[in-house]
Amino acid sequence: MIYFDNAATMMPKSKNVINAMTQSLKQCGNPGRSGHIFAQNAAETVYNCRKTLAKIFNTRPELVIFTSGATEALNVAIKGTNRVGGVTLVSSMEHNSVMRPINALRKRGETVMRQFLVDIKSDTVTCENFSAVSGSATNVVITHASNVCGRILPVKTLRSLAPDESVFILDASQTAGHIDVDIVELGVDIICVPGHKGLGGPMGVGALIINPYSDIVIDPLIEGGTGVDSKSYEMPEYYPERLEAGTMNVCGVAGLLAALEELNTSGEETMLFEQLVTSMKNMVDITLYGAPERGRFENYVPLLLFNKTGFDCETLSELLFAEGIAVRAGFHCAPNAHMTLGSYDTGGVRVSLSRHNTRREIERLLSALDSIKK
Amino acid sequence: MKKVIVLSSVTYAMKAQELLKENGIYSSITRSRAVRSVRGCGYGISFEESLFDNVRLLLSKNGIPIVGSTEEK
Repeated sequence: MIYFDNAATMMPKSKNVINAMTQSLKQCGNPGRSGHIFAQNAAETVYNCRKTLAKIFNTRPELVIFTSGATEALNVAIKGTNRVGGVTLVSSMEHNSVMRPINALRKRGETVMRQFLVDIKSDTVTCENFSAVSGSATNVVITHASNVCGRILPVKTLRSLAPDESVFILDASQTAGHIDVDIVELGVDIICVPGHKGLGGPMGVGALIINPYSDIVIDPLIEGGTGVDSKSYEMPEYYPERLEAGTMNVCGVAGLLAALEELNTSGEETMLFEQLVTSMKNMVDITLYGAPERGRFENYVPLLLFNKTGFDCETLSELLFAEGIAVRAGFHCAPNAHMTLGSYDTGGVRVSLSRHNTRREIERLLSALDSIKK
Repeated sequence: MKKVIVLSSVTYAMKAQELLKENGIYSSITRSRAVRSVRGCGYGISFEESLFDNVRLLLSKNGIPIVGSTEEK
């Protein structure tokens, strides 16, 4: 089976990830709860993973908060920084992991939601659109790269255009592990990442990462035991424990740590992506949505949305699966992105690459697309 | 006699232990009765009493908040 659904979750997981998870189940207790060897093993695993993530994203270990994934991280970031009466600004490319929590706040009268249009072909126009509505924003929540077409947004410039006092939250679900994501360089307050996509870890673990120069206060979404301050009914004021109530997914963290230790952002998949896009542009019955123009691949992570004339996207996905190729069809939990790209009525087929893909696999996909006929 | 500096969490205890190791100071993480006497459940780092001023300075300079200090046998 050829796997091109890495934007959903990277596969295959490496042997080191699987071994680390197995070992953690045998050797790790509950971190931060006791002083015995099993608790110590767990605490060391968790701390080492915090430290590694902190190095990758350029912050301090205690500002790495473990979550169940990017969706939980985004919920904590969005709801934990929202203050009643605020205005939340989003892009037109957001995933429902951003849209739904903000919509929930909006329905409760706790924020007003505004949106700016992303221009796939021009960062300048995107920034102009942002500036036109960002003046009253108290919170900005945007994706780093679209999960539908792979376009990277000009985050650093958008941050510079946003009000200084606004909270800026970045959904790095599709960029983490593919390109360098430096929280200080970008200037955002919070970055939310999944462990299981570009970083190559298991499902069920992700992180909320706080800028070391930011002074934002994030309120917890859930309260509970932290292993410290046990005589108090209040959650600790310091991170990470403030946002980490309950027993952590140590097994997932161990797997993520193993994945991070072999992480390689050399960009090999970008070369394959160029080959894929260039070839598909030459196929007369293929329509691409939001794909990079010649020489503009640096603005993209390696994923592509398309349709084939005469085929519903779900049908095409099934036909490709019958050829041994796994892709993802539909709306990708991002209806506004499809609206922006012009695929809202049809949906589309998404091909997303990882460092595990090969040139031969790209050729097999192109050949299969060519051979599928009505 | 050992000195114990109580820290806010296991995260800070591990960060402190690593920092001290980088500076040639051996310490161990403890949840001893001494720690509980300061703040209920929590973590501390235990080290030779004579190094107390050195350790306190290192932790402070590196942004590691100190909750309290005590002693253990």
